[in-house]
Amino acid sequence: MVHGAKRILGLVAAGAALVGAQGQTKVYGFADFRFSKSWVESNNLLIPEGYINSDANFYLGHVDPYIDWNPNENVRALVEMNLNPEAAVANKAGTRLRLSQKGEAELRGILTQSTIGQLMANGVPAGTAATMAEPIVAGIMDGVKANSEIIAGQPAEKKRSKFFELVRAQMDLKVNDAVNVRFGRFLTPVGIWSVDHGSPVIMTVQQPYYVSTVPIFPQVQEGAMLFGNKPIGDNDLSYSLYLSKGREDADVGNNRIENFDDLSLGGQAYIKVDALNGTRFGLSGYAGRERKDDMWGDAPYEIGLLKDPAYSSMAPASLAPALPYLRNDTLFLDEINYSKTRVQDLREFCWGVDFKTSFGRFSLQGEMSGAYIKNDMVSGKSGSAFDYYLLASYDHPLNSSVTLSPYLFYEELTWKDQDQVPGWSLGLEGFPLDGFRTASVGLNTTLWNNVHLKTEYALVWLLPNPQSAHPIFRNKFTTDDLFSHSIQGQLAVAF
Amino acid sequence: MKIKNALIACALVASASFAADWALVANPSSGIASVSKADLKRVYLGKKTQLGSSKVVPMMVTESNPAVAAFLQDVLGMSPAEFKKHWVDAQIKGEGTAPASQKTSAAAIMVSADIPGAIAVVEKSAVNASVKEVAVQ
Repeated sequence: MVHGAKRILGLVAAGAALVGAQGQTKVYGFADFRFSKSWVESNNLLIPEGYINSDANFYLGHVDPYIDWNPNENVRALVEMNLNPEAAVANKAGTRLRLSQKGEAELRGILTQSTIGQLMANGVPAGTAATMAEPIVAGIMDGVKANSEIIAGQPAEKKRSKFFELVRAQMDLKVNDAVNVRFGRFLTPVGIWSVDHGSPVIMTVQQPYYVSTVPIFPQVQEGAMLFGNKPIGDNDLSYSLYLSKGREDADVGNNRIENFDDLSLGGQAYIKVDALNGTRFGLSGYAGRERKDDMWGDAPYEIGLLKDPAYSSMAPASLAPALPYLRNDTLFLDEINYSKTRVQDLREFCWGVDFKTSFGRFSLQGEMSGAYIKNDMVSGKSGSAFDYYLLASYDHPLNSSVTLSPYLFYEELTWKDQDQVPGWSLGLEGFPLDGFRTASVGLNTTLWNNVHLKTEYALVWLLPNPQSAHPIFRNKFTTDDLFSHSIQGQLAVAF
Repeated sequence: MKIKNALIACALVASASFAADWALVANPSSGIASVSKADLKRVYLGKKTQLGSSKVVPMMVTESNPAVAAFLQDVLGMSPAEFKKHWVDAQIKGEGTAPASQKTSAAAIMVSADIPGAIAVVEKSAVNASVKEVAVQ
């Protein structure tokens, strides 16, 4: 009896720590914090775009919690979220609205509530706004027209308003080790550093630009994936094959799927061989469509800047009681007519190769990838991009808790004919650039396996091409203007 | 001097022998009689969840245990720190979580005896009749 009780207690205590057993939900993740200081020429053309600045900054990079649920041995669900430090909402309306399809309802709601709705809340009877519109428009149309011209074409801006962004949310069904099916939102399996996106896994402070700032492959996709691994002798072959709705990197996610052949198809295969201290070779590919429509809302009646004395003085005296209730906004009253305009229809083909090897304490890895983009809006127009990087590092353990890993990194990213594929996610449209190179040297100190303290010095050269620029930029910059260097530090923790 | 060297050599041999004193045990209902080192490595690195037709739930005693440290070196070619780092990385990549670790061999054996499919790396001296020892080739 006593033995039985002890056994049960022991099982409870030991079983509580059983990882991998069914029915468990686990929460873990990673976080990082960064310091950076850059030195750039004051006329570097990337300053106004916010890509670089010379401030010394501390900032929170990531707080990515994971929720991992194994209801049974054949099912696994994983959700990863990312704390978005830019949680502020910014909605800016112009005289002519430019709406993404997803943004339509929200923007209309905001406009209605903040203008007409406010009138109602202040006791002006329903319908008054529309009634007021006629005389106001009649009285101040000249002023409104002038104002409209100033801001005509000014798009409504909608920035992410989510405090947490969903990095991935995927459900895996296991048939066996070689056959698994994944549904949901997943990180694109490409090369080495796409799925290895967490700062504690990454040797450098800055991820290669081709997966971070200028993603040649889509970073995340929504769809279905077949994946698995198969031992071949002492080697391991892993593969993934997916069908998805395509790229969503740059926008709020309005990539349009109209036909089955608009779906994106991609895959990756890599083999880990037992050479040296472990070596991997990989291949990745992706074919997808990037298509976007803009939806425009045209309002026949507009009232602009009513609090501006220049306009309010034109309003009929009978409307004077209503004026205090009107905000200093542009107001759309009714009869907004929406029309769609296709602004982008691209077909993209991406490829990548990668390798990683270790010999003794040295490690060397590299990736090469490219993209060919065909513009289906204009026959015969296309652009391309190409990137490669190399990373060499050396692990020097000081003791069982501390390892020093100095590293060298070099990357070059170039693109061609970006003006042939407007709206393309790669490149910097309208700027006199063909790409850039970056080189960095750093030290990654690993503490207790899950804490990394990194310091890095990096140089970036922009590669100018005066002919690819908008006329106002042509011949305005020398190579020296486009050079920048920076120091960065990062504390990354896996928890 | 020769005696001193011989004593040191004996001590090292004894220490190595002690360090290598690990065993792989499985639930008695398991159909697994033996496993290759290559397959066992895949299981403990999260690349394999089946041995033959049997699904396995890997466990071990904590990495600080000398027997487990010896197992990691013999089979995975890793130090305990490298093994931990492998699983920190795998977790961040979304590939899963590390095998369960129990504080003692007795606890690992007790859990293995109760969970179908469980296999565990334990101290050889702790193996008893409640579990089945699996040959590692």
